[in-house]
Amino acid sequence: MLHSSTIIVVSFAYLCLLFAIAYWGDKRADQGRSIIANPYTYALSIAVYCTSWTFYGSVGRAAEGGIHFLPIYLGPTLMAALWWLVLRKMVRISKVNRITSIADFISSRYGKSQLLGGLVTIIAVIGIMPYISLQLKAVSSTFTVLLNYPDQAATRDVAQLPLLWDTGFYVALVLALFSILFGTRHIDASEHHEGMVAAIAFESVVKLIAFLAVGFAVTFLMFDGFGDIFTRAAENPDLARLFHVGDIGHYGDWIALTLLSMVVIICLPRQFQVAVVENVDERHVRKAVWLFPLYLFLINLFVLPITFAGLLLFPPGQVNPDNFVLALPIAHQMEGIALFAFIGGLSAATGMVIVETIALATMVCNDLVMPVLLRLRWLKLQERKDISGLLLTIRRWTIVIVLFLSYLYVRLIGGSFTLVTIGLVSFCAAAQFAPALIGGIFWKGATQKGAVAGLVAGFLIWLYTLLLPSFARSGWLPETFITDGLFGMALLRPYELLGLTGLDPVTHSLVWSMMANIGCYVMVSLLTQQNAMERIQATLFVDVFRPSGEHGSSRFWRGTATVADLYALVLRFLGRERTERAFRLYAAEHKIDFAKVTQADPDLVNFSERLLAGTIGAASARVMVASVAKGEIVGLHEVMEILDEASHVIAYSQKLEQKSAELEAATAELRAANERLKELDRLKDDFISTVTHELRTPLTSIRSFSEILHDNPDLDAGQRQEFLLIVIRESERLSRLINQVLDLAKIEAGNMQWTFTMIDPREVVHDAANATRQLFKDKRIVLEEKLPPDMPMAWADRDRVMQVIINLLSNAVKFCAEGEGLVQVKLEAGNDGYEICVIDNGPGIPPEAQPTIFEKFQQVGDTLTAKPEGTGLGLAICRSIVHRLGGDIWVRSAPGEGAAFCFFLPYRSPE
Amino acid sequence: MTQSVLVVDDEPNIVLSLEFLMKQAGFDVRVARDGEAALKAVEESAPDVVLLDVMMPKRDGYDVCQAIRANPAWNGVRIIMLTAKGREIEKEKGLALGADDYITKPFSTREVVDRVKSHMKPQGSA
Amino acid sequence: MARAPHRSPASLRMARPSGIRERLVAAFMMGLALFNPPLLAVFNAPTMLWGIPLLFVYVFLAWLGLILALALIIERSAETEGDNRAATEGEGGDAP
Repeated sequence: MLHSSTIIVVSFAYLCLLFAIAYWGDKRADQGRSIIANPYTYALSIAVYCTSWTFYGSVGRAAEGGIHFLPIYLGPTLMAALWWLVLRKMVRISKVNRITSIADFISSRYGKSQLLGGLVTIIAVIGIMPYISLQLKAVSSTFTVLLNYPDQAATRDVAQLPLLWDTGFYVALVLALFSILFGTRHIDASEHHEGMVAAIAFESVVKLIAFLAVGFAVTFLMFDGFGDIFTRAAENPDLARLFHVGDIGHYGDWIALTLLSMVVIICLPRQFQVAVVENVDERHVRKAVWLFPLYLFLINLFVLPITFAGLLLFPPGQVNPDNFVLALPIAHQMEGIALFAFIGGLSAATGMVIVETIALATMVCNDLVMPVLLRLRWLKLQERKDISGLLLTIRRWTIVIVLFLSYLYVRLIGGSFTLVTIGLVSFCAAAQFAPALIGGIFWKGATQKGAVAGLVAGFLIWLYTLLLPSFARSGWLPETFITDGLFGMALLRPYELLGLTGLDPVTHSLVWSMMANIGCYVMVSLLTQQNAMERIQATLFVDVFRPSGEHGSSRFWRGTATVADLYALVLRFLGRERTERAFRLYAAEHKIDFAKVTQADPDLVNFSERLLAGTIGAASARVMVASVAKGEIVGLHEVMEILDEASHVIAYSQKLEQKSAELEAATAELRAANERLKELDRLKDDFISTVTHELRTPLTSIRSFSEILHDNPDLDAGQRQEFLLIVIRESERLSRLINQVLDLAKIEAGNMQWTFTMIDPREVVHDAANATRQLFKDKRIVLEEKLPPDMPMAWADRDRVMQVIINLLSNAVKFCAEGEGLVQVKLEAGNDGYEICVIDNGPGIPPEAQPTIFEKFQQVGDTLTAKPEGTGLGLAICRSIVHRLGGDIWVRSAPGEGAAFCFFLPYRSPE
Repeated sequence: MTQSVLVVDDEPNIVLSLEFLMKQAGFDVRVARDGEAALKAVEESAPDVVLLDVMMPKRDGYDVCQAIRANPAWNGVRIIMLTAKGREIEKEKGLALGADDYITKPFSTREVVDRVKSHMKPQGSA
Repeated sequence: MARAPHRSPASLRMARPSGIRERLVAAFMMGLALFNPPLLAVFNAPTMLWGIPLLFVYVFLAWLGLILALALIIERSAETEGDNRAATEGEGGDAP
C-alpha cells in the first residue's frame, strides 16, 4: 500500500536530488570543470523531447491507433540524420550572434525585428501552453492513480476537484518553484544553464530506465515475452485491428505526423533551448545524430507490449490507457516498479516543464516585455543602476504565469482530451516556426515581411482549426462551431476547412496551416524587399560558415561611444561581477588597456551589444547600445548611410570610369599628336638626311676629280678637260641645290620676300619661255606658247610666278627625248583666275608616283635609263609658291602619253 | 689573274672617277648603274671587291649586299659600302648585312684606293 | 576563427566523392523510404513473425537499422578524420 505521504516524500526527495545535481553542475561549471561538456550528456538533454506524452501518452495513443504513436519518434530520427547540416548551422549562428531563444533567432535573422520576436513569443506561449498543461495533467492524474492504489479505476476528472484538492495545482506550484530555482538563478542567458542541463540529462536516464523496467516487468514477468502478448492479442479481433496501419487516410496521417515531428524537434522552444542554446561544443551534434535516435528507439521498445498487455488485462473502459504504464505494475502488486514508474513519469514531466518554461521566460522577457518596457518607461530604466534584478523578476513571473495559464488550460479544457491529442496541438503550433527558421538559414532572400506573413497565416489557421475547436469541445464555445462552422458556413468548419474531409484534425490543421505558412512566406518574400539590416543579418546567418562570419556586424559599426558608457550600460543588465569579468577578458584578449583607451572601437561596441543580446535579446540590445552612442552609432539609419556611401562609391567609381574613358580619349589624341610629331620629326630627319645626300653626291664628284687632277698632273689634255668640266657642272649643281634648299626653307618658314605687283600673266609666260629657250634648243625640243588674246591683269609676285613656269619648263625638257620632244605652255584665263599648263610628250608619270610628285626629293628617277638631272626640289618649290599665292598645282599624266603640269592662280587685287 | 673590282653607283660622275681610280690602281674594273645590274655582273663573274653605293634606283645597296651574302658561292666577295648618308645607324646596318667596310662620301681618293687594296686577297705570287 | 591557412586538409577531404554530409543525406533518404508507403504498405500484412505482427517487427528493425547506419557513418568518419577538422567538413568552417 502506497501512502500519499510516501509518494510525496519520494517525489520531493527526487526533486531535491535533481536540484542537488543542478547545483553541483553549476558549481562545476563555475570552476571550469563542466560535467555536461560531452556528447552523451548533450544527447540525453535533447531527450527532454520525451515527456509525459512519451511516458504515458504513447501507450494511450497505441491503444487507439496501434503503430500510429510511432511517427512522433520516426520524424526526429530522420531529422537527426540531417542535424549535421541543419542543427550544427543553427548552433554556429547562435554562438556567433549570442542567440538566446528561437524567438531571438528568428527576429535576429530577419533584421533584428522586434515585431517578429514578439510574434514568435506569442505563438510559442499560446501554442506551448497545452503542452505544459499535458505534463501537469499527467503528473496529477498518475499521482491520483497511485494514491488510490489499488483502485485502478480512479481516473476522475481533475476538473471536478476543488482547487485546493487538485494535485495539478500543487504540481504546477512546485514546478514553477523548481523552474525558477533552476533557470533564473542568474542573468545572462547566453551563458549556459549547465546545472539545469545536467539535471535534465539525469532525468532522461531515469525516465528511460523506469520505462524499460516497467516494460520488462510487463513483458517478461506478467507475460512470456513479446510473442506471448501479441499472440494473445491476435485472438481478439478488436486488438488484432491495431496490428495494421489502417486504410489510405491513415497513411496520410502517418506521413503528416512524421513530417510534423521532424520539424518540431528543432522548432519547439525547449528543443531549441537544449540543442542550440545550451550546446557547449558543436562537435557534440555529431554523436547526437545517432545517440538521440537510439534513445527514442529504446524508450519506445516496450510501448506496444505494454499497450496490448493493458488492453488484454483491463476490461475496456475501466482504465484510461494513458495510465497503463502505472496501472499494470499496480495491478500486479509491484509497488516498487509502480513507484519507480511514477518517478520516471515525474522526470519526463518536470524535465519538459523546466526547460520549456525557462525557454518561454527568456523569450517573453527578451522579446516581449523588455522591448515594451524599454519603449514605455525609457527614462526610468535609463536611471536604474542595475536592471539585471528586474530581468530576473520578469522571468520569474513569466514562469509562474505560464504555469498558471497551463494549469488553467488543463483544468478548463484538457480534461476531455488524451495526452497525445493535447500535445499534437502544440506540435502544430511549434511547426509554424519551421519555414521561417529553416528557410532563414538557407535562403538569403527570405524577407522579414515574408516571415511575418507566413507566421501570422499559419498561426491563425492553427488557431482556427485546432485551438478554437478544443475550446468548443470543452463547452467554452458553442458545439455548432465545430459541426456547422463559423456563422453556420459549412466551408468554414474548423475540422473540415473548405470541405477537406477524411483527415485527422491534426493532419487537417497541419496541411492547411503549412500551406498558408509556406505559401505566404515564399510569396511575400519574393514580392518584398529586404531592408539594409535584413540583408546584413541574412548574410550573417546563411553564410555563417564563411571564414569572416564570426566578426559579424562589427564592420557595420562605426561609432564614437566611450568605453565608460558601454561599461555602464552592460553593468545595468549584467551586474557588476559579470560585467567586470567580461570587460577584463575582452581587454586581455584584445590587448587593450581600458585605463588608457576612452573611445570604444567598433569591436567593443559589437561585443557589448552581444553581451546585452545574451540578456535582453538582439533587438533590444541594439536599441540600448544605439542609445548610449546617442544616435552616433549604427542604427538602421547609419547602416543605410553606410550602404548609401557604398552606392556613392559606386557612383563615384562610375564617374571615375567615365573620366578615365575621357582620359583615354585624350591620351589617344595625344598619342596621335605624338605620332604626327614623330612622323614630322622623322620626315625632317629624312629631309636633312636626303639633303645631306644630295649635297654630298656632287661634292663627291668634285672632290674625286679634283684629287685625280691634282694627283695626276700628267693626264692628257682631253681627259683633263673632261674632268674639269665635270667639276664645273657638279659645282653648278651644288650651288643650284643650295639655292633651292634655301628657297624652300625660306618659303616654308615664311621668310621669303614677296614683291607683289600688277602683272600680265601672258607676258610672264612669254618671258619664262624665252628664258628657257636655250635649253629647248640644246635638246632640239619644240616649245609652243598658247596665250589668250586678251585677259585681266593679276596681282602677284612676278619673279615667283616666273620661277614656277621656268621650273616646269625645265622639268619638261629633262623628261623629253632629244629631238622628238614637244612641249606646250598654255595660258587660259578664267573668271576668277588663270591656269597655266606645261604639257610634254615625254614618258609620262606612273599613277603611283603622281600623289607624291610634289614632295621634296621625290624624283621620278628611272623614267629614263640615266638618272635625271635635278635636285628633286623643283616641284616642291613650285607647290610652295603656288600655295603661297593662293592657287593650286596638279599633274595629269598617263604612262607613255606625256604629262601636263598645271597650276591655277587667282587674279586677286591689291588691297 | 688580275684582281677585279665592281663599281656600283647611279651617279655617272662618281662611277667615272672610281673607274679611273681602280684602273689606275691596276684592277680589273666593271661598272653597274643600279642594283640589278650589279647582281647580274656578280653572277657573270664574282669580283674580289664590290664598291657598292647605298642609294640607288631599283634594288638599293643593302638589298644587293644581302643578296650577295645569301649565296655561299660569293663568300669571298668583299663588299665596301659607299654612302652619302653619314648617319651611324646606316653604317651599322650595312655592316650587319654583311658588308666588310664602309666609306662615307665624299671620300678621299687615296683612302678609297687603300681600302680596296686592303680588302684584296693577297696575290698568289706575293 | 581566421585559420584559413590551415584549411587545405579540410578542402582535400571535401574533394572526396562522398563526405559525411552526402552519406547522412543518403541515410535520411533511406529512412524516408523505409518509414513511408509503399515499403510500409508492403509490410502492412496480417502476418506474424516470431509471434509478433510483421509490421511491428519491420518498423522496429528498420528503425534500428537506420540508427546503426547513422552510427556507422558518424563513427567511421570520426575515425578516419580523427581530429577536430572532421567538424569542419564540407562547410569550411572551424570547430570552436
